[in-house]
Amino acid sequence: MTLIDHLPVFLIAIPILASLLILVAGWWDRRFCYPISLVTILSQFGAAVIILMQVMREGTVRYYLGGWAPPLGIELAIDSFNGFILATILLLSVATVIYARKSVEHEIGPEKTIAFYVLFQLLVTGLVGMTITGDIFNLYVFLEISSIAAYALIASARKPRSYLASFNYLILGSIAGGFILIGTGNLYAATGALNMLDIARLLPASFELATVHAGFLFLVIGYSIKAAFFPLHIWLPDAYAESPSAVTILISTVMSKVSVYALFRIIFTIFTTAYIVDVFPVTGFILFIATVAMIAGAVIAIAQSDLKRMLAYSSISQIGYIMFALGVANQIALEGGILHILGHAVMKGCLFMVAGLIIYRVGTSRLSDLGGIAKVMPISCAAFALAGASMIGIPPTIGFMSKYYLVLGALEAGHWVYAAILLLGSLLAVGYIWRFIEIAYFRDGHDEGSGARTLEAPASMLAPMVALALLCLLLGIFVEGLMEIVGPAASLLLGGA
Amino acid sequence: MIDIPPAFVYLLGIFLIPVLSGQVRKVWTLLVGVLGLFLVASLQSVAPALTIGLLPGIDMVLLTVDPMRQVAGGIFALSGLIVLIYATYRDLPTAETVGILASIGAVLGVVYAGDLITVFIFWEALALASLLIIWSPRSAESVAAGYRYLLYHIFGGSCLLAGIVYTVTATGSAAIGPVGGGGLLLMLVGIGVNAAFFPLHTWVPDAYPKASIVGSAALCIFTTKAAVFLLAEIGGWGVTVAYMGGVMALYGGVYALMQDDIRRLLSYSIISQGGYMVAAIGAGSVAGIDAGLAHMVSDILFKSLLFMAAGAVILRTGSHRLSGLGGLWKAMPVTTLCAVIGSLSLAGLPGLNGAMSKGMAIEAAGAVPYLSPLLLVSSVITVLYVYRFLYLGFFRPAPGVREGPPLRDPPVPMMVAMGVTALLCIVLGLFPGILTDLLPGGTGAHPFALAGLIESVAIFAVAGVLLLAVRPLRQPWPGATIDIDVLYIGAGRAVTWFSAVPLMHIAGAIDHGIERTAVCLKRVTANPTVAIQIAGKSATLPLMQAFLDPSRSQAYEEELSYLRDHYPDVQTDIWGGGYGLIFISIIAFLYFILDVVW
Amino acid sequence: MGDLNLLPVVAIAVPLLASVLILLVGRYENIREGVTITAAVAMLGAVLAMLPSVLSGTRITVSLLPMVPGGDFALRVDAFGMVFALTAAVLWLLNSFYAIGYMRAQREHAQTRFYFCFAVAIAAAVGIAFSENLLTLFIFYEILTIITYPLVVHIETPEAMKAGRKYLAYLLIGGVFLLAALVLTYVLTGTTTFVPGGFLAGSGSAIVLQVLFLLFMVGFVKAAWMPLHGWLPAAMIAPTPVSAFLHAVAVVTAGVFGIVRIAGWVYGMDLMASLGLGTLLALIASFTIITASLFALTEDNLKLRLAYSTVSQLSYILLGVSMLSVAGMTGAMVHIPIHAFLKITLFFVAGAIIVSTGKEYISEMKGIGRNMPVTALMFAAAAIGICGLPPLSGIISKIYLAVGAVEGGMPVLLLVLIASAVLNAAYFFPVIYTMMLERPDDEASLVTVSEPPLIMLIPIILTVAISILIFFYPAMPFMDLIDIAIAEITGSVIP
Repeated sequence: MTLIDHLPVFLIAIPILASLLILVAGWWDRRFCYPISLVTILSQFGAAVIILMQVMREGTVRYYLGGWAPPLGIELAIDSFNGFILATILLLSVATVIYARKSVEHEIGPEKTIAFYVLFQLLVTGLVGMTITGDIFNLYVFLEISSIAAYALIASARKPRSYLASFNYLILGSIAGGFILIGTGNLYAATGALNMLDIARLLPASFELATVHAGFLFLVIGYSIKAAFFPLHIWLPDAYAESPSAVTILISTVMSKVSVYALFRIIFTIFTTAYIVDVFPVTGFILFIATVAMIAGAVIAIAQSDLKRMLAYSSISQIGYIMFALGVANQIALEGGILHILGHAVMKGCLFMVAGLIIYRVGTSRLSDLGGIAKVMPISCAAFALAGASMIGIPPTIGFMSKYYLVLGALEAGHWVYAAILLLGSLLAVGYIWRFIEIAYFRDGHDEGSGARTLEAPASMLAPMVALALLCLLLGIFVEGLMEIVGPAASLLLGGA
Repeated sequence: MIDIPPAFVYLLGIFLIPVLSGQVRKVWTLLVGVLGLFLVASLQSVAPALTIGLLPGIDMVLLTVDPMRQVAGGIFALSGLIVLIYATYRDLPTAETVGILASIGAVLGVVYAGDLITVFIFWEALALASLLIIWSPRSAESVAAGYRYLLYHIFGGSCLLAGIVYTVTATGSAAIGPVGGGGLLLMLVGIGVNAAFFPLHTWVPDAYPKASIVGSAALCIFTTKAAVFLLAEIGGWGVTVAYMGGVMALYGGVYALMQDDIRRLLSYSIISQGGYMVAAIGAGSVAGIDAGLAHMVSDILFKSLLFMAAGAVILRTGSHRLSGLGGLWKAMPVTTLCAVIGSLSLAGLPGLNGAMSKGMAIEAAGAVPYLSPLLLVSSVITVLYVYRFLYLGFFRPAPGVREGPPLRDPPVPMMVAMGVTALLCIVLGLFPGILTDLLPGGTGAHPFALAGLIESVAIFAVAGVLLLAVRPLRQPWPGATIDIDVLYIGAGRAVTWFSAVPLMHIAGAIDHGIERTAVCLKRVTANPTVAIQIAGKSATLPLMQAFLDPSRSQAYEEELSYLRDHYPDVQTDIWGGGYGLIFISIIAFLYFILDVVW
Repeated sequence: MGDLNLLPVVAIAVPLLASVLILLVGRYENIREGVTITAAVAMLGAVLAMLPSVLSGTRITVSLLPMVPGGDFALRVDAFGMVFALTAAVLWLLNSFYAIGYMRAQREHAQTRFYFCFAVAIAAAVGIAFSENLLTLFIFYEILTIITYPLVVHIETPEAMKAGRKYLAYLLIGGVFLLAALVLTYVLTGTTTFVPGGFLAGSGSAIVLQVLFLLFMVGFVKAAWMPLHGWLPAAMIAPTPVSAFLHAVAVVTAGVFGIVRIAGWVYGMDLMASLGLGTLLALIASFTIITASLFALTEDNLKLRLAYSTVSQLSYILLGVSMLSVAGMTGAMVHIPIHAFLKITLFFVAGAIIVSTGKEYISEMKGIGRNMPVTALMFAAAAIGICGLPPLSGIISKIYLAVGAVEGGMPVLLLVLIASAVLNAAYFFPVIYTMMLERPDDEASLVTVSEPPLIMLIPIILTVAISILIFFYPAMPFMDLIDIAIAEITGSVIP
């Protein structure tokens, strides 16, 4: 076996080692943390891309840990779907870690940087593991790793409210974990297998068992909590709003997406469409909830008086879009959904970065204090406008493309009403995005006295933000290239090749 | 042999007007007038039609020549030149000069147009040009009158266009000829506005008296006559039009009789005389067409003569009311002479052109039952108001001593213009052949035939008897100014009021309603959870006040008012894990229910 | 043809490039304005360069990149698109000069933003004109909506922000409907590429197609048909060059352009007739024409009166479409450039008056014609043109619309045209005589008033001159282009 074939395991092994390394090196000199972390994640990203290309070339890549083939051993399976997700989350992680350097010093404090980077590494590890593992129990393990890291990171803002948020998330997260564990157990009881493919192969025989139904429900609910799928989102707003900017970016873009990925994986790969459509018809229900999520999230977002909280609620609404695809469950809609996983990660990452920058400079993210901010932070606000346009779904941004696929899918599936609601609901995004644009560009405040003096944040924070903003546009314009990966991924979820 | 449309001479001539001034401008205008007249005269009937494809699919024929057009073109160009001469007594405002030249050009355009679309375009141009003339005094009333004038003619023009379009689509060609079907009515309305058909006539007495003295002398030539010409050119109208002519003749006459303002009197006289032409043309026969044209020529001559004379009077006396005039024949002999010639011609005294053409018209109208009596009656009325015009205006002793400089005849140019016109009236009256030989139908006029003479004598006799018998006819009276247009003006006011008051209210209400809903929506969504709390609390408030002890209900109200005041900024406190537990236990409970069911 | 295929891209890319440059050199005013002018000239050049081949009946198609099912991102230059593009290009050049004069005279703030948005907006407008399919059109349509928002709220007062929200609400909601229509069209037919004569026939039941058409109509709310016109008067709060831009160059024009496209290239006249959509459109248009004119009748704010006049005039175009006859379609198409040139003159004049006297209300404008004769004269000319009187271009579309009404078997529409003609005159001529004939209330207030700077005056004169030219030579180029377009959609041989 050449080195290339071992890449999957490196994806998990390297960051764990790196986190230890950071711990050690950090004791010696704190400045080592950042470069190590950066290099690690960059290498992961590189590996992810290589693997993805390999997958597109040769089909699913399977790696048996320690050479033990399933059912005995644990399998890492990377197909076009999670290959795509993997690349996405690592891309965002790279952006985040570059961004994090300054904001961490600013928000968490120099003395805590070591802890931050260690936890950060662990979080990324856990998420990567969740993404590439082919084993349902293993999935749970990695989930817990990432969650624990996340609890700590959220609390690291050291504000009373953030402790509360972290604790709140901890409780719900544990409940979710419990559910997932029970569900996994049910499936094991029903099939005697833990490898996803084996389960998928064995499950149809026992579709009618209540155990299976129970397992299904427990898993779906559990992961829905982690994915903050309405109405199980209650942990999310505070967790996003109260945690340090860097952490917010990572959990909002990467973590929730991975949970959504897990949902897709479980529903489509393990319980195939046959199950959710014929045996246990749940798609209609999910579609309904998803639509409610879109509307409710956006409406509440409009209400917020704090930028980060507003974006947090918008995330709930956006998760609704992704779940919408799950509810429609046909090729085009799923393409839209998967596209939106990437799209939302990119634009929401950019938006949260802007929020972070504003906190970095102005010290607050209360909308009422941000009048005319565009005059002093032109680049950031331009980025916000661009990503915001994508959030609203203005063509030709990525946000528009995914929305377009979703509507198209819904119409092809004959869900006229839902399509209409989705379209009109997408206007609600204007409600909250435009509020900030108006305040930032067309209201006086910051330009008085300070004149035209721009106080943009350091380049290390600007660069990733601008990159993401441009991605919103470029990914949209060159969406056709993405579809070459997303298309197969969607058909694979639907049981195709 | 040049065959460019005569209209172009005048329209191009306009371009130098703004840059020229004083004597040079006057010379230039006269030059243009002469050139135009020469061009018209030199047009050969065999001249090839000048066609341009201005609009794709519609070939516009700018120049076609035939006897009928030659007659009309000649008289328009000639009278136009005369007015230009008349106008040189002072420096006209640029706008007015432009207006006069444009009017002549436009009317010639209408005359020589070979197809209806071209007619329409020049038709609209004529309206605009006349508007310039009416507006040029810049007085408040002339502005208002001009505005109304324009609205009338925009309406007429649009109707004409509609009618034309009907014809074009029906026949497939825009050639000028009898119309039928749906187009007929529209076209009749369109032409009727310009020809001052009965209910559409009010713009004439409304606008003409408000123009300057030169302006009214010019206006009286073009608009109505152009319409009459178009009627004659198209032809084939039923007797309805003929009777319309009768109505116009009578109605105009009666109203002319009631006027005090001399130019208003003459304006109604235009309608009345137009009635003769319409009646003759409506009769439909070749003779009728000829008669219509002939009387058009005569009317142009003596009516412009009268308007010029009236202008001279107004210029010198500054008064335009019969009740204020009198005794001018001593002070202004030339003017008086011209006025007399014009008036008698209008009244139809044999030996003047009016008698000749009017005789032709009545004769032709005889083909239509009951029509000629109408015309004869109105002839009598004509004599009556002509008498009033002459007697009260010129020959009766002046009502009071007049201050200011002694009255003189008007400046030479005006006298020249009037003299030429008067001469033409006499010549054409004595040798009608000059005109009748040009007529397309070649109908002869025989004004000195016994029947005609007797007729005239009878008319004058009846009128004389009436004058002797009815004293008020010889006395001035406050002119009747109420005409049917009070209805139109009322309607206009109504529309304006409607758009100003109710429409605005409705629109405002709708706008306000939408805005309110938007605001409410925004307010509720601004913080849904708290909004719900407020709603619930305010709903239950009465209960609380009823059943709780005052202190606690007090606290309750305070809480509510706090929420209300601080809405929507009240932050809902963090939802602890408890809420999550409740949610999930509910879902799990549901699941177990399901499980039992299976 | 290689370079030819490049031209449409150039026409759109040039202003975009210019917008970036404007941001970069924003600090140096003269360079910034220089960029705008250069871009305007360059774009006009690119458009003109395509004119001959388009006139020869060829269609330039450029497929830029595949995007989503439902259409690539592709451009196609055809005769009808050329009409719009040419109008927009010419007017952008004139409007740029005018805007420079206006903005400097008024010492407006945030001028860099202003010119930036202008450049992007014109790119979007030309993009709409050159769209090969609904998707591309939609993309540019939305960009146009967003990018004109900063222009509308330029003065940033609370009222402006309120108006801006209204503007955005109307247009974005419209955009959503357009998207719905677009997707539905794709689901029904599997394509959204414009086909002369339409491609929807037989793709769905009558009711579906009727609903689809309603979606399109709401989608093209930019056409400001009543009762969805509210955003247009609200947007009058913008600086005058913007109003001119909205009303003549890009925005409303884009709306009506879209509707004509839909009628001719998506539905086709036969299908619309069989669905009874002509009647529906005729009702909407007639209602709008009359009601809007009544609104204009008593509106004292000159810009608002012009705005309502626009609402009414745009519905002439819808009316022409609704006749579903060749002449009607011709009238509708030719009315787009004609109205654009005339209406932009009126707005230019309104702006010039604001610059010279600061007056916005007609009742305050008594006698200003004596101090600003040329300006007032140009206003009179343009107003006469819109009333459809010679010798200006307005009369041409009036004639064609009348013919179309009879051809299309809807003679009752003639009455609408007559009533509207009277109303037009009724609300325009008072403005004319107030300016030119009436005496000012206090002479003193006018002594300082004089003509606007030449950089503003010359565009005004030029637009009028062009309108007169169109009257004398309508064929070149607009009528010829429109003949080709009509021949395309009626399937007859191209002249």
